[in-house]
Amino acid sequence: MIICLISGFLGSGKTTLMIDLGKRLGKRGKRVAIIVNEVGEVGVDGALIDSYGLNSVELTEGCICCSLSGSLTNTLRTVSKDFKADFVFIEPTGIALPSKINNLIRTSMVEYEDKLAICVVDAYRAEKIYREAELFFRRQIEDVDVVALNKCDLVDDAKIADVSDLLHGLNPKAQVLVTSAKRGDKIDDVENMLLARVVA
Amino acid sequence: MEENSKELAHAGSHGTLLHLEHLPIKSAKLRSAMKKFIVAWAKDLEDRGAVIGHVKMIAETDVGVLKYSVVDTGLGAEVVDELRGDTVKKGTVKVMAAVLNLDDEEVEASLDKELEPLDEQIGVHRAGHHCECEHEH
Repeated sequence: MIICLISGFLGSGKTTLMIDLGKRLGKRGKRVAIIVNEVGEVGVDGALIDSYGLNSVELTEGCICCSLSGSLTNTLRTVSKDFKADFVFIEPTGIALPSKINNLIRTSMVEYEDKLAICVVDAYRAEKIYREAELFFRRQIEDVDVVALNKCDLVDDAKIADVSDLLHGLNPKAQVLVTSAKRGDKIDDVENMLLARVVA
Repeated sequence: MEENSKELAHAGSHGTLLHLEHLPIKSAKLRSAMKKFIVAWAKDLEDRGAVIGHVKMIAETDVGVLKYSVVDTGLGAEVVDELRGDTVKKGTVKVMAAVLNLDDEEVEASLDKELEPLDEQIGVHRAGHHCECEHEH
């Protein structure tokens, strides 16, 4: 089982990316499970994910990196044991901290082959969010393997270069992919990263 | 003390389930009302000092789903329209917003304000909300 954490600020395009990846992997015959978490009392994204025929578990009314951490580990165990997923996507709330979720996964006692942590960043709003919530933005970028600089269809090349520089500065180890989940740009690359993690 | 990411981000959120009171309703009318509502709610949150995370809604109906979301009022509302019929006979709507710089109560107050015109337009009722009507909620 491969675990893919898709984190990122509110409205960055996490769900769109995850649905696309889920559909692609499903077409390859892979069993895909999705754990989606929303901070509010009601979940909106779970219904959308289900409408595409994907298997999702929705955790609401809290954040899986802190107040709902127990629910995450229990759900991971269930998905691993009962559903026998090939790929599990975890989409936390847009205010979750990936480092905390990575720790929860490591200590969950769930067996998995590999893990990929992706942070989705909205290219159009990145600088604004950085100005408004610098510490928080910084901590969302830390401890991920890949930063998907998303919504590149909404910005020009100069903006992409500026935001890429900012992201490289915050996490020099992460690979930055310029994506448009809406248009499907560079999603092949993300899919290939996931498939490459499957033990032959 | 355990770190709470919502507090760390100075974030507030609120969401609720709505029942459609006046069914059947034309899909076109539902689309128009929902788009108007979601844009107005996002604008009101901004006017109250919020940095919008997302403001979104999904209608789950007998003819498919309809989702609108706003992440920036300058960009307007994004839509996922999977309604496959002219008339909605059955359905519920979930609405939620998560923002920076407002607390949960302020987000709820904004929703209360913006639900009034939506209710006048198509008739909605909050799940769990006590009222004098004879509908089953």
